[in-house]
Order: sequence, then structure tokens, then C-alpha cells
Amino acid sequence: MIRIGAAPSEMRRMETYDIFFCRLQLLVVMARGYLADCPPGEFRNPAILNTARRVANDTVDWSGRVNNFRTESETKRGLKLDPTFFQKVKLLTVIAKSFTSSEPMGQFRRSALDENLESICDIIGFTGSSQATRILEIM
Amino acid sequence: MTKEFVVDTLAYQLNRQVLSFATEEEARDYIGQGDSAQLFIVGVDGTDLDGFDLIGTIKQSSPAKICIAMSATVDHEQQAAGMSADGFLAKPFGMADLFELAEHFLVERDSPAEVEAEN
Repeated sequence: MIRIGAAPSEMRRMETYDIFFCRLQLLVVMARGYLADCPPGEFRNPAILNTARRVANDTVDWSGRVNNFRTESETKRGLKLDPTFFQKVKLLTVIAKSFTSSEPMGQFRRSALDENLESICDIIGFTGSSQATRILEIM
Repeated sequence: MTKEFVVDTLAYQLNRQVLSFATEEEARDYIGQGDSAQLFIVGVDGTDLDGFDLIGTIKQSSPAKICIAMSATVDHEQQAAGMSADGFLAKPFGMADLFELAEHFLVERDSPAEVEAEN
């Protein structure tokens, strides 16, 4: 039997912020995959839309109590988050919803997406590049 | 919340259908209809279902099916091993853990199939 996930001493229930950051990382990978021309798929598109929707909803909730969130995240994860972070995440969710469209994004939008991704990744300390590459290999 | 994240992550990674069930009964109904799923992720620390019992049922009827027990409780790992589960997914886990799990059990296999996340 293989074991994956938290170490025994760190096991606990998954809280809202755990899921938020997991979903945000997933959204980053989805965006990286899009920029790398990862082909959409019948089952991928709903996953992208749902992930973008859930992250957007969570971001709205967090914005109402950003100070609490910032305090908690600094304590638990060493992240320094500010309101612009949430605006960047919101922008990412809006752009991500267009990934499932067949409309071309255009050079400048792709560039804006890339810059936004870099900014978010700097804050959360996650690039998503290796995971996106693995997704492409699975294809 | 966790279940939905698992479903979206695996569906995106594998581009396969991932089903989820709210209750053990729903999962049993699906299995009873002659399911084609390759892998089951079963929450074993829910209050209203017995995930271990479900794993036992699946393994008894189809030993080749892959069963992963998902829990936030340390003691459940031993129980999962006792039920012949193929894996233990310890909470909290992240996207990379799910990628690793799917790659370990599914990516190297060629035949398309469904994946299920239960609770």
C-alpha cells in the first residue's frame, strides 16, 4: 500500500484555506497548460470552469475579511498577501473561464495572462511549470 | 469541498470521467450496475458512511480495482492496510499528491476508464 499526502504528525482535516490554495495551484497549472497549448478535452473543460468558479467565489469571501486571512496565512504558511493578490486571482479566474472557448486569446492577452501568473506564483511560491509539463506528457 | 477538488484535479489531469457519490449507498448502487471504474477514492472518516466497509466490498468482488482510503486520522492507515487498500491518501494533501497518485496507478495504463471519488 502506498502512502501519499501529509505526514502522520501533520494529519488533520482540510480547512477552507487548504482547499483555496490547492484550487489556486490547480488553476495555475491549468493556465500554464493553456499557454503551452495543452489540448482541451471533454472532461477537462468542466474541471477548468468549476475550478475558476470556486476560486472566484472563495476570493470574494476572503476579500471581505482579508485582514483575518492575511494573519492566518502568515502564521500558517508564511505568505504575505494583500488585496492586490486577490484582484490578481480574480483576474486569473476571469481569464481561465475563456480557456474552454474556441476563440483565440491573442498575443497581448496571453502576455497579460503570463505576467499575472508570474505575479501570483511569486506570492504563493509555486510555478506550476513541472505539473503542466507532466499534463502535456500525459496527452 | 475536498471531494470536488479531487474530482476537478483528476478530471483535468487525466481528461477522463470522474464520478463522485454523496453517500455509500449511491456508490454501492453504481458498483452494482457493473461499473467500469479503475480506481476508487473512498473517504473513510465520514460520519454517515462506512468507507472501510465499502473498500472491503469492492476488493471482495473485484480485487483488481484500485482502492484508495482517504482520511485525516492517523489510525486509519493501519485499518486501510488491513482492508487491502492499495493506497492511503492522508489529509491534508495537495494537487501534487493527487497528480502523483494518478500517475502511480493510472497514467501508465493504456485503457481509458473512469475514476471515482467517493466522499
